Amino acid sequence: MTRTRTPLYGTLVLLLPAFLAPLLWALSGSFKPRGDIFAYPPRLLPDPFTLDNYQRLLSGQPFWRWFLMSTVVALVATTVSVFVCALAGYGFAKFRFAGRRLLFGVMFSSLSVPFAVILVPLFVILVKTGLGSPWFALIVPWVAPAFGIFMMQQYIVQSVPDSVLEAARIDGASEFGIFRTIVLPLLRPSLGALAVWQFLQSYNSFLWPLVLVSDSSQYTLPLGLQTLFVSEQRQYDLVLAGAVIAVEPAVSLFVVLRKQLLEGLSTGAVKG
Amino acid sequence: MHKDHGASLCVVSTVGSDTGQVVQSFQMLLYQRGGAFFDADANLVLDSQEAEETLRFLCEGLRTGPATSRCSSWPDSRTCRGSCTRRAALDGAGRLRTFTTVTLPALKPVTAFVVVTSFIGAAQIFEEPYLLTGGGPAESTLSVTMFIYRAAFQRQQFGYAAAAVVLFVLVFGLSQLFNRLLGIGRASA
Repeated sequence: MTRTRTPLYGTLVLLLPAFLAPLLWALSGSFKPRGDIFAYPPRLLPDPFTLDNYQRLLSGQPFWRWFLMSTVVALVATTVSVFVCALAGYGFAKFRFAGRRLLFGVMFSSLSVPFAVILVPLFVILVKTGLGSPWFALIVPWVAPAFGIFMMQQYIVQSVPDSVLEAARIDGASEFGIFRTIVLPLLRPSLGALAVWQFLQSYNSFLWPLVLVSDSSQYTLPLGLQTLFVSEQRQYDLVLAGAVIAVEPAVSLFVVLRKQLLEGLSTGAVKG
Repeated sequence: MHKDHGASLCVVSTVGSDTGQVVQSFQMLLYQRGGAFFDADANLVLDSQEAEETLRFLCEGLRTGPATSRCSSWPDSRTCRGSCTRRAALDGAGRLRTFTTVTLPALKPVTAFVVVTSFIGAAQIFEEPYLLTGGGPAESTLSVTMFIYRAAFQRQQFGYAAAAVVLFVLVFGLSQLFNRLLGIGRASA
């Protein structure tokens, strides 16, 4: 076994630097003075080492506001959408009702509608109805992603047996009580996977905040970093420092949920 | 029956990883040929001619029998996990050949799903051209999403941008074509 795996590990070791290099480069660049970032020959270790970039970023820009905005929006969107997706997936998986196939078809085919198609209409609707405030518009349109509902539906069909639900019904549990005490615990692995996916979707989204948010104190992180980047001087040093800090919430969420993520993805969406 | 007619009756099932079943059919075939695991003094006699013949029959049956042909015709990924690759290895297929003729076809529905979703995803590319090139030089790196963004939010031509959505009909059509070619409808229905 070890002998046959040697080529595999060899390839992986060769690929590792290719994937790691940009991250290391961002980390090292964030500690360099601006002039040194593009110095030739490139050097991995910053010399002179400086924390100046971080200081200027945190004092000269509303960075913590952007950070807070992004993180809070992503956390709220994740919590709500995981709950909504589980609920909707449960409905599609376990209940027979009029129009179920039609609704499921509509939901499923919306998976293949690119976001740019609804970008302009959604923007116009939100602005005309006066709901264009960032807190509302960054969260509410995204609380029921079709992918999440589909994934939950698939998972519930596979892993929640009808007999358990019937037993609970006979014992007199309310319908919502069944969902809360039986279905949700059974769904834990896939809920973790969905949570990480949804968090990253919200945290990384760029185009929607770009058209929606105009007040720079309400920027999300990608938007804030982009303004630093496109400003006159192309402030690579500040962008790199900001990017290093911005990685933090996503990585810590992944670390917290990695077990659920790996289990959930291997039993989840696409297998049906 | 074997002694009288020179023929054996058996069903060899290697679906799943049930080794007990394989041993059982070996034992059954061995008895048909008048062989046994042990002689009267409880010595192991598996080096007998009957045992050898039984083994050969089992292997021949695997190689020529109908059981193997199921593998080559797009097996369902859920019913064919380890067993098909193992059977292919028994047939003498190398690792590469096992991968191309058994594993890859078995993964077809999943692969098709990945192809279509990443195609749709890549067709919507926005961040990279927006940040790196701004669509230039001239308009050579202008993506559809960027075109729509530029029309609506930089040039205030909302109607024009909404109409540009028609470009995505092309994307939709192509993904439908992929669906047809790769048979996704059948796989995920």
